[in-house]
Amino acid sequence: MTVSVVTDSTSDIPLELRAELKIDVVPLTISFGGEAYRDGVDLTADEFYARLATAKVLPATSQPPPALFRYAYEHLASRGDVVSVHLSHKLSGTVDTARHAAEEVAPGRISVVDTGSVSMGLGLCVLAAARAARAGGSREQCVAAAESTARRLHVAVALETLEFLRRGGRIGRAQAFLGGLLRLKPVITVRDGEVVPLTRARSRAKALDELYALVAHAERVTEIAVLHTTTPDDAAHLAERARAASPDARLVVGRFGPALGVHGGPGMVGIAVVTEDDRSRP
Amino acid sequence: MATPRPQHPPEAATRPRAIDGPALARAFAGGAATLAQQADAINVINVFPVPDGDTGTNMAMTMRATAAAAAYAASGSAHDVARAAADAALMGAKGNSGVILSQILTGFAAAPPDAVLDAHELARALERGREAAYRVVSAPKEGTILTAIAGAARAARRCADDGAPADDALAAAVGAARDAVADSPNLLPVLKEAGVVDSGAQGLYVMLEGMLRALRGEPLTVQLGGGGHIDESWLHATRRLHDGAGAGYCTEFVVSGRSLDREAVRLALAEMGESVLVVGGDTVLRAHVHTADPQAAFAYARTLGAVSHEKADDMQAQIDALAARPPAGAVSRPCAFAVVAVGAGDGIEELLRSIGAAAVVRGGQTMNPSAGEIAEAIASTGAAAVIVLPDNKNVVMAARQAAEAVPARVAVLPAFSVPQGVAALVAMNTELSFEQNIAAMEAAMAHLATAEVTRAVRATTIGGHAVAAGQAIAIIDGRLEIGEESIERAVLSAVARMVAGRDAPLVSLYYGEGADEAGAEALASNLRTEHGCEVEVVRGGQPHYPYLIGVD
Repeated sequence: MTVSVVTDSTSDIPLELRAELKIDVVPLTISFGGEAYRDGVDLTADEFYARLATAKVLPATSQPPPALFRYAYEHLASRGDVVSVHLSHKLSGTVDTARHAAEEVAPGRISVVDTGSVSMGLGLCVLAAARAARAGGSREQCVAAAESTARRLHVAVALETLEFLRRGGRIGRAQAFLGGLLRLKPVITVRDGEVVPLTRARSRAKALDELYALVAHAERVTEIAVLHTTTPDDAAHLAERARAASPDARLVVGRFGPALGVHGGPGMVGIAVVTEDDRSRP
Repeated sequence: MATPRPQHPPEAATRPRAIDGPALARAFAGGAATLAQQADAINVINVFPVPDGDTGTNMAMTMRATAAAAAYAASGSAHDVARAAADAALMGAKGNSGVILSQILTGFAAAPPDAVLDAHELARALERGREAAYRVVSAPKEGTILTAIAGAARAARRCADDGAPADDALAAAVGAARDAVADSPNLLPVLKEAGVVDSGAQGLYVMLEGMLRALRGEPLTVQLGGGGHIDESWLHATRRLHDGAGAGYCTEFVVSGRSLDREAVRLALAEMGESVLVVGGDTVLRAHVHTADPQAAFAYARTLGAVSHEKADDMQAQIDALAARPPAGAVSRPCAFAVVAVGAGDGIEELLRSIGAAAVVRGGQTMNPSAGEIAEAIASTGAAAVIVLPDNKNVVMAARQAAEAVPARVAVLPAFSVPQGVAALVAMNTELSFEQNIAAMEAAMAHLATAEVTRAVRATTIGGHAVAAGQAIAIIDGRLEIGEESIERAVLSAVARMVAGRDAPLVSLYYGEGADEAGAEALASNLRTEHGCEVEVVRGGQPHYPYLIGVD
């Protein structure tokens, strides 16, 4: 009996990978003014960014309604155990809602994992759980796979501006990078669910170099994910360099969904890397 | 104690053989006075063909702080006076020459407390000063102030061993320093090329001569041989300097007359203000007072004789400017370390703060901040660990000295230009440790090339380039590389050279005095077309340099 793997739409896993690994995705809600859309269901990334460019009021994201988790869990738990892998509880109430729904639907049969990450950082944890499930792993083994990946995860994101993070109230400690009379490109990461500043670059090219450095300086890279909001060429070029630096690693190139795009803004490019060893941070 | 020897002139026996506290204080005041007189003349013989020569000003300001402190301690022993002078010199040292001078002065303070400053102790003081001065310079060069202090110490030693009184030993030191000045072009080819003598050596000679003259009660005048003419634009630059030691006006004047009573003048000025210093003799007095009413001091002086060299600097304006400093806006949470940067120009100072400098010390090529000013800025951050970006080679030593003087853990990074300092600040990350930041900043600085574009103030040839006065020049990473017909052409040539071989270069164009935004934008668009590089135009407002250029 195969363990089912569920995540939320902030995991930004490309559609074909989702299909291949049979990953279920619970959508967050995107609202433009009075209109609400299910992320990736009623609104594609392309449509979202097209509207974002002209929107007078910034769209808002909100966690999935509890009913969506209940439906998903009821459906999947009827077939076996479930592992539900999500973005950091510090960024969204999604994981708490998931836990609550899991308790209601099938106590003891659904494991909910807080990865402390988001987007493809979260996505790579989901992929690890899904691969463990496909290999016939138990619920505990799938949870362990996701948690282990979360520990070996390195993320760097280059932003065109901190303005979207600031307006969305998610700037966290990256506000130390705010202001300044130079056109600096902030490079941030998400660590334990918090936005943390990594460095500032004097140009976009140098900011992208910083992302590449994450791969170039890491040893034994097993997974790489590269995402963008509106600049596919930058992502493709970065992915190409990353592949050259770590030819044996699995590589995913994708797009930030609306949940991340609304906070990062146009021009955002990110990289997530999983290494073989547990990360050790100073 | 040395015993008198018959070969010495008979009057030697009647002169005091040793220097006591009051005499030493008088000597320091004399050295400060002659340095102040000759500061401009020393400034103009800087060999660098840009208006950066402030060796004379720096030495004079360092010595002024020294003399003022010595005057306060004048009633004590020679040791007390030397101690006070050395402490003040260490904190008041401005520029590299000031720092070296302060090291030389520590030689006097290192004598045992009960020692009498006779010829032997004077020679030892100069010897200790020489050792300290050589130690503070990372790559000592001959033909400089170091050679001059070494010669002075040797001469004083020889004289002391012959049993001479202290002032004769000092006279021998003065003679040796003067010889070292004259000989400096033979040791430093760059001086010979430029047709000047070494400014630091000249400053030391001027100071020692002033000390000797004050000791002997002779007029405090020094005749300098050689050294080039005084350039007006250059004087304009250096005259804007003043110290900021208290409230009111730092007021100075020289009065010439007959039977001048120094003590009476001192008492009269003490009624008007603080930090009174009166040096000189019967016919010429130089006076210094911090007072709220400089005109009253000048009016008093005119009752004594002919007044010249009046000067009144508003010290409160400087204090106000310091107090008005905005807080470190960019760093929003307390972090383990802070960064202090040095820069000149309103745009540059604002920029440095905006990208994370907790404090900015005003200064640079033509206004080297003192160790005391840097120490104050370090203290103002309240951080336990502080990274200092001197942003100029001539500020590095003062920064190191400031680092020694404060309780905080301080790292002085080798940022030799404002663009380098900016690169270091951009690399700052409050999430990382002090050590990690130092590594990140040093790496960022190493990637950056700097060009300084200005006009040559005097004709010279350096490194085989003939440069006419007024010609546009570009100095790339400290070396004069380019002479051009116009400032704009110098910018284009410098950037062409700096971007060569770089992958995706970013050019930062800081426009300052003598340039404007429209001109900078025109250059930027030219550079973008020519080299396909990114160009960021920044309003620097820096003095003397129409353009500073950084290439990442």
